[in-house]
Amino acid sequence: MVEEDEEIPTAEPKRCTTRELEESFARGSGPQYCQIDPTYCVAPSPGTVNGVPGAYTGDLAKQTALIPCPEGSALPHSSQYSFISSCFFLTHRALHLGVQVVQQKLHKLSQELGRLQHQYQDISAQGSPAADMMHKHMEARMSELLSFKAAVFEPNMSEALLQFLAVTAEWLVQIAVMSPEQRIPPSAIQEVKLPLLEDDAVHQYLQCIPEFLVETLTETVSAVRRYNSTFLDSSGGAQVLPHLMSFIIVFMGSPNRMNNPHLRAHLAECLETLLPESGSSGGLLVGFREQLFTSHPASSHLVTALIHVFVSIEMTGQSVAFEEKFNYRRPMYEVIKYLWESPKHKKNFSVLANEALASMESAKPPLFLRFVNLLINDAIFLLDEGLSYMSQLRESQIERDNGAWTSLPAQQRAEREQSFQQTSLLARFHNMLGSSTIQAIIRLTREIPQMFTHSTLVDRVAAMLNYFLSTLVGRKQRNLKVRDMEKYEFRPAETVSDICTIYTHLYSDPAFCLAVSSDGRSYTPQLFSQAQAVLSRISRGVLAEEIEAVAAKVEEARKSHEEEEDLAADAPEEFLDPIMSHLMTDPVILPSSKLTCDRQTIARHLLSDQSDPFNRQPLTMEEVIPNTELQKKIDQWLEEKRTRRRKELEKKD
Amino acid sequence: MSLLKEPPPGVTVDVDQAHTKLTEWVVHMEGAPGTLYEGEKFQLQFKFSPKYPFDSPEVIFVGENIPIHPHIYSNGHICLSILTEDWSPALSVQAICLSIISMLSSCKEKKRPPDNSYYVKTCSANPKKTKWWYHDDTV
Repeated sequence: MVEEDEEIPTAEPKRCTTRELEESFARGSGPQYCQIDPTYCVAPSPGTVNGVPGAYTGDLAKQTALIPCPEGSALPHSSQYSFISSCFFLTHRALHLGVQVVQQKLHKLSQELGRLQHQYQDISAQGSPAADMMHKHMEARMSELLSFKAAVFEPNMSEALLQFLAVTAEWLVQIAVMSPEQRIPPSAIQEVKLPLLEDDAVHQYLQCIPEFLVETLTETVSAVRRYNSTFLDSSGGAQVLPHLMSFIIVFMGSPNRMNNPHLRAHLAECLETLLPESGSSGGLLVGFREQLFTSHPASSHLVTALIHVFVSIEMTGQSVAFEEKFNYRRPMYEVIKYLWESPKHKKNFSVLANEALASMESAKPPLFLRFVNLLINDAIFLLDEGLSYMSQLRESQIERDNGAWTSLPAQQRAEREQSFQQTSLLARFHNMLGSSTIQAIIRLTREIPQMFTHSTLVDRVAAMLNYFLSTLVGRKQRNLKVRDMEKYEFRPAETVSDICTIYTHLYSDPAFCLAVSSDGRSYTPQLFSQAQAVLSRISRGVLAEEIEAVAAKVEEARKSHEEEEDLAADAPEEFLDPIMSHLMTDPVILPSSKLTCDRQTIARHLLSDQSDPFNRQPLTMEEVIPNTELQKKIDQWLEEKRTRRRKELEKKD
Repeated sequence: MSLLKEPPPGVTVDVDQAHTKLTEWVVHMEGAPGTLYEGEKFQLQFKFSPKYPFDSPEVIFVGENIPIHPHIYSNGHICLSILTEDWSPALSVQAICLSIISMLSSCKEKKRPPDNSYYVKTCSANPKKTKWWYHDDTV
C-alpha cells in the first residue's frame, strides 16, 4: 500500500493543484510509477455494481483505449486501487480537460494573429485608413497571445508538466515491453532492448489505458516546440527527451501497441522535434540530441518504425483526409533525411530494402516495397499538383498585369485576389513537399537502385521521370514561368537536375532504359538533349555529360526492343495480356478465375488490391501458377518469327 | 479497343477528342429504348490517371443534359461502386458504359439523390475524392 503522506485531495480540494500532483510524481522518478495500476480506468467506481475501492473512474472507461477491446471480452481489473493510481489517472484527466484545451486555444489564437498580420500588411500597403484600426486590433490580440503564452509556459509548470509526461511515457513503455502473459504490473524497470517483443500478441493492459494520455503527450510536445522551443534545451526539458525517444521507438511503428494511426503519425512529428537543429550553434546541445538518436539501446528500430508509420497513414483509408496525409508526412521526410546521414541508421534502410527485394512477390507486399510505392505515388501527385498550380498562378498574373482585374467590380476583384493568395499557398505547399519527396527518392536510388528497377515498379518510375522531365524542359515549360518563383518554393532548374540525377542512378539497368524508351506518354528522342541544354545553362556540366550517356543507353534499348516489338506485332489474342494488351513474357494462371495474365500485371494489381481482378476472389502472388504451356507456345512462336525475319534480311542482302 | 469495334447499343466514343488528349475521353450515350431515358442524349467524360488501369478512371456526366437519377448528382458525379472501391483493372471502358446504361435503365422514378444540393455545394471537383456511401443496390 501507499504511504498516504501526500496531500489528500478530498481534504482540501482547492489547494491541491494539478501542478502539485505532477510534481509528486516527478519527484518519484524511481520505481514509484510501478505502483500505477494500468487497469484503473476500466474498473467500476465505488457505489456502482461490483464497485472497486479506490477506483474513482467516472467516464474514464468510456474513453478510447490505446488498443480497442474486442466486443464481449471482459478486461481484467484489480480488487482495489492505490492512491497513486488515482492521482495518476485523475491528473491525466485534468490535463486533458484543462491544459490541453488551453494549448489548443493558444494555437488558434496564434494562427488568427498570423492571418491578421497578413491582412494588415496588405491594407497598409494600399494606404487604407482602416490600417490604423487594424493595427490596434492586432496589438490587442498580440497582448492576449503573450499573456496566454506566459500562463501556459510558466517555467515551473512547464517543467512539472513535461516531467509528469516523461514518467507517463516511461511507464507506458514498461507496460508495452512486458510479456503479454505477465499479469501483474511491472515492479522493476526493464531496459528496452532489441529485438522488441514480437508485437502480434496484444497486451491486455493496453486495452485498458485511454489514448488521451498519449494525445496530451504529443500535443504538449508540439505546443512547447511551437511556442517555447528553447525549453527543450534547458536542463529541465532535456531530461524529458530520452523518455520521449523510448516511447517513440516502442510505439510509433506498432499498431498492436497503439491502434490509432493519427496518434502514431503525431509521434513522428514529436520525433522531428527531437532532431538536432542543423543551424544551431550550441555544440553541446547538438551533441546531446545526436546521442538521443544513436545511443538508445533500441535506436536501430527507428527506421523500421518510421517507415511503418509512413505506410500506415496511407492504409487507414477513409479516416485520413486526402491532404492530411501530406501534413503527416512532412515531418517524416525531415526525419528520414536526418537518419540517412547517420551510417548506423542508413544501414537499416538497406537491410529493410534487401529484405523486401527477397520477397517482392510474397502474399503481403513487403514494407519497404509499399513505402517506395507510396513515395512514387506521392511524388507524382505532388509535383503534378504543384505544376498545375504554377500554371494557374501564371494565368492569374497575366490577367492581373494586363489590367483585366481593374475593370472588375470591387467584390469580384477581392475574390480573385483571395483565390490567387489561396493558390499561392497551395502551390508553395505542394512544391515544397514534392521536393522533399524527390530528395528522398534521390537518396534511395543512389543506395538501392535495384528496388526501383524491379519489374513491379520500373515502368512507373520511368513514366514518372519522363513525364516530369518533359513537362519541365519541353514545350510546355513556358506555361510555368511565374514571377517570384522563389516565393512559391518553385525551382524548376533544380527539379530538372534532381530528376536527371535519378536517371543517372538507375540507367545501368537495361530494364530501366527500356522502360524509359517505351513509355509512350512523355518520352521523345529529344527529351534528353533538351534536358542537357537546361543542365548546361545552369552549369551542371558533369550531370549533362552523364545524361548524354543515359540517352545513348536508352536509345540502344529502344532499338533492340523495337525489333522485338515488330516480332510481336501480329501475335494471336491468347498471347496478349488481357489487362494491358501486351505480349506476355511470363504468363501465369490465376487459380480462381482460371484466366491467364502476365506476372508483372497481376503483381502490380496485388500491390493495391489483394484479389483476382476478374472475379474479386481473394488472391496472393504465391497462389498464381506459371502457365508453362502457353509460355512454351509464345517462345516457339517468337522463335519462328525471328528465324523468318533473319531469312528475309539475308535475302535482301 | 473493343469499344470502338463493337460498342454497346447507343454508345459512341468521340474519336477526335480522344486523339487530341489520350487521357481524356468523351463517350456519347443514348437512353435505351423502353426506359425512362428513351431518346435522351448524354455525354460521359472519362479521365485516365497514369495509374490506369490499376486505378479507376474518373467518370462523370458532362454537357447540357445530366440524367436525372437517384444516383447521379446534378453536377454529373455518379455514385457507382465500380468507379471507386469496387474497381478492378479487368473492367474496361465498355464495361463501365454498360454498368451506367443498366443503372439508368433500371430506374423507376426520375429524381435527384436526396442529398443533392448539399453534396453539389461541398464536393471536390474530382468525384474520386468523395467518400461514397452506397445507398442501395436496387436502382
